[in-house]
Amino acid sequence: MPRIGIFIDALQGSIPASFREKISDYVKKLPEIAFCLEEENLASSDAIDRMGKRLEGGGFEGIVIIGGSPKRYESSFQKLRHPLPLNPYLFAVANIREQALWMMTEEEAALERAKAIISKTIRVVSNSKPIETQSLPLKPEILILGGGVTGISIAQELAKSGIHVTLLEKGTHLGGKTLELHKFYNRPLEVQKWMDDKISEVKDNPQISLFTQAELKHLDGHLGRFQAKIQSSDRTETVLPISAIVVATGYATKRETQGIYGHKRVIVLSEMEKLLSEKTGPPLLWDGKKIEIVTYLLDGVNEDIKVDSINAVKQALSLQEMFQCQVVILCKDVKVAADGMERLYRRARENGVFFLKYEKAPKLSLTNGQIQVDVKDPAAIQKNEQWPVSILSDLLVISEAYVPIPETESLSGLLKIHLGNRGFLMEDNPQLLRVRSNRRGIFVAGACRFPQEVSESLIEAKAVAQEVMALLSKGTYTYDLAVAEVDPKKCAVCYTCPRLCPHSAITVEKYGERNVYMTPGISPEAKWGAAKVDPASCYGCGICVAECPAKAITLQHLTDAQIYAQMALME
Amino acid sequence: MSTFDPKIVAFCCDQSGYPAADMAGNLKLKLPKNVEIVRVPCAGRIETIFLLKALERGADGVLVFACYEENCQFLRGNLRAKGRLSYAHRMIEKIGLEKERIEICHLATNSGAKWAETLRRKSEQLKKLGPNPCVGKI
Repeated sequence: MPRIGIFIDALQGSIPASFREKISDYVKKLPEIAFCLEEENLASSDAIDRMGKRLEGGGFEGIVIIGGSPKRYESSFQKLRHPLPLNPYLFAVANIREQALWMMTEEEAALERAKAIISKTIRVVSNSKPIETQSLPLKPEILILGGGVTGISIAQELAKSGIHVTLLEKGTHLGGKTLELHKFYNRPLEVQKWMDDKISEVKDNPQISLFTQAELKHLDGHLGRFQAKIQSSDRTETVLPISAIVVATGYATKRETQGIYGHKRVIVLSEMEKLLSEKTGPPLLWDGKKIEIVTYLLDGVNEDIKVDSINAVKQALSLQEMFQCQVVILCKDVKVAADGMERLYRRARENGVFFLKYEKAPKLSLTNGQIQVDVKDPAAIQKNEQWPVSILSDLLVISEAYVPIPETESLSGLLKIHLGNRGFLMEDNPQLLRVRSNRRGIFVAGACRFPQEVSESLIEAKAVAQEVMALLSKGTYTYDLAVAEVDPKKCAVCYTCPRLCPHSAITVEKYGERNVYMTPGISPEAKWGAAKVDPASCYGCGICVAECPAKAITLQHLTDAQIYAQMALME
Repeated sequence: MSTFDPKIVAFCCDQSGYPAADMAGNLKLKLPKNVEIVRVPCAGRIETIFLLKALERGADGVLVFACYEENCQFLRGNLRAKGRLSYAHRMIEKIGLEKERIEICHLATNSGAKWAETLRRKSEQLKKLGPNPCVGKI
């Protein structure tokens, strides 16, 4: 019978002394007990010191802490970074405060519950094994897919800290969609010059190897041991060993050309941007005619993306101030949720830009070569008082739909990362882990995740650079072997687990040993394939363990025996 | 029959169910006496056999506390659990057990009240259904 040491935590008096006494009387009578100590607050650093001294004494196979929620101890032990002289997986917590003392009406019932919880926790500990820690060497090698503004900025940041970057661009030149811009909405910089500086800096940097007209053909391996096969412009293939990957492939646009949208006086925002960059003063000409009234029709395709609103307000200001045009912006909502946008919007109002809201899509027609927009102004609350407004304009500017680049789907299959809404790449957690993908060692950044402003992409680029540096700076990645493990002898290679794994940590690999499922005609020396969980990429969720039809997978830190022990039912 | 106190095995996902249980304790919400809490890293860890074994070994009901759909830390763990649950439902109905004995409840980290309420409701329901007839017969 394994011997168990017990610590009773008073949790600063929230477990009353009389109750604790009864518990310690009960515990001392149990046959498995090596020692039983009481502490006032076990999560404090001096209590952990005392605990460490007692643990060095030895004479036990596991430790049960009787006290509050296990989450409390896990976080405080981790926070204090205290090297307790015992494997962390030989600890178990009997949560008698939350689950017994506070949940029962009578003390008698609470005591019974507490005893049951303690005895089942002792059985859980008796069934646990120590779990080792492993480390994986990480070379400072990074692959960035996409040479847009995000990819370039990440490459620059990482190259500064001595990481070798391979930058892959499918087109002939760097820069991406940012080169279509003329001005930033919030910075008085010339976009073209700023981008040219950035691009030439990347080209001259010895830490960055640049591949244009290249693409990723194949990817093998996991974090720290990725093998990327790259096809460069002259169709030669190279295999690069890399530690981590950043995906920053950007977005594509799709223009509506049906009906009146195909008319030459209907243009898109990026065409207007180009028009503004060509001239510096009035008159503004389009198709040989002077432009006086410009109407923006927004929210037709991208209702929840703020980039269009930002660009429209920015362009409207230029048109009003530099070219003396009259600008009307029709939209469902003006989206100002960006840094400095409120100020810009107020300036536009003060300069005489008309903002009109619409609910039903406006009617478009042609009148004497001009575009006529008929819309009901919903500013009045009473429906019958809503005035019909009709605008005759020289130019109608519409927005393009933002779509994922055509390669996104094949790329997600290649990298084994997930696609989210509308086919864009998906982050691991939209609130907390915005730049990580579902696979450890692969990051997503910029507009391939969601179309966004350049300034936001720059912030995201910094975030990715920091994540990558945090991962690579130590030179090794250390992890516990508290993961799923496949028994190759039992694996039937049914491909259930690689399909189910949410973090793509399972692949089918060759083992030296023989599989139990023998096929006639194959010599016993042949290497057999079986599923393998990469321990550095596994998050330990246990989905594959539960689903494996051959029960070939075990979760090291929560075995079936431990779960049955927690159920506390008869055998 | 008044002394019958149904035994419930409550599987709690570490991401939502277990913090909710802690919260229920913190709020001092009262609970039926016979509840065994099993902590699992994700609802996806709960195998069909665990649900059936729990009933076989003397539990009157099984509850699975998982995250809301599309809210799983491991993307589809809660959906896997739901799928396995309906498989278990089909099997226990074949042997003549009520499928209400196994149930899934989706909640969030801060749903302490919902957690306790679900257990109380389950306990009442199981009191009406009576003790698990399989106990000691398999």
